[in-house]
Amino acid sequence: MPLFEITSNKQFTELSSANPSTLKTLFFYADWAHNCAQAIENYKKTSEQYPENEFFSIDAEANPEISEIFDISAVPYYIFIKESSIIKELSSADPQEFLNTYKQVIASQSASDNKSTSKSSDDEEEEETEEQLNERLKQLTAAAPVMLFMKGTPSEPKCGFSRQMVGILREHQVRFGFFDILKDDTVRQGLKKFSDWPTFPQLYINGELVGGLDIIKESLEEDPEFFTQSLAN
Amino acid sequence: MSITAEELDAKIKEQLKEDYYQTIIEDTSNGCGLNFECIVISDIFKGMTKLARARFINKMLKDELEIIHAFSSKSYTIEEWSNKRV
Repeated sequence: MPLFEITSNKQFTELSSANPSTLKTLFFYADWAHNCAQAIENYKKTSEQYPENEFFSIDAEANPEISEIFDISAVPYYIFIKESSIIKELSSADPQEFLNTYKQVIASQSASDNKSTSKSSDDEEEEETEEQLNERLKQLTAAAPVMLFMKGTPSEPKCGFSRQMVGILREHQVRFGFFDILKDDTVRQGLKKFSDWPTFPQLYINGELVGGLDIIKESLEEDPEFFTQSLAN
Repeated sequence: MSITAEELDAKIKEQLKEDYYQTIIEDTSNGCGLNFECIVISDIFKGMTKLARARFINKMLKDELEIIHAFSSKSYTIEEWSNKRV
């Protein structure tokens, strides 16, 4: 089944309860986040690769009730469902991470389906060259107008500094994409070098490192309109 | 291995040389030597953005920062510092 865009609650209820044994993926996106454009392109490709599974996309802001059911606080957000239960969730602006996760989900599903002679396929992961990594970091840091690289997720920060940063962004009603560096050590180590900045959280506006918590706090003390100003530049 | 505020100050002094004006370094770790809040006042920061200033401090303390767990820094020029205290 090709990728299907869900536009109403009714549709969502019907589609999500049909064919319970099929692996379903829900993809939440938002128009304003241009990291989503890249993610949706990639998502579409994946849906063509796996025609036996179902793929849905949902505009998170146009469908607040559906977003609320799944407690969506950031986009892009992926939810994997089978037999009417959520088997995995992923919040990531990195299309590659989605694809890797999707493959893992399929592997774990087929493993539990035939329970026997499944061979693991993790030997197909390739080493990333430094150039590829830098290209990926460039894309990631510019994935949304405001990108936060943090420890943990906005709903579950794993460090006090990251927690404070999320608090500040929320308080100023700044929409932001985020990346959990604890989930990807290559990005974590690579970004320190890439941006010549040793610690996290790191906040990027329009692809440029603005700073860590201290700088953001200080900038806001000096200019309460700091975020609006930086985004306009 | 732990680090003291005095060591950080010495390291900064050694590198800023004649640009060294004052530092205020506070160990906020209750003694484990891994959490610091650091204020550096120097005219070397004139014309630098906040990001550049912080990078500069990070660079001066590169070896120490690999050990320190939590580090926060602020930087002022002498003029900014005197305005702040008024």
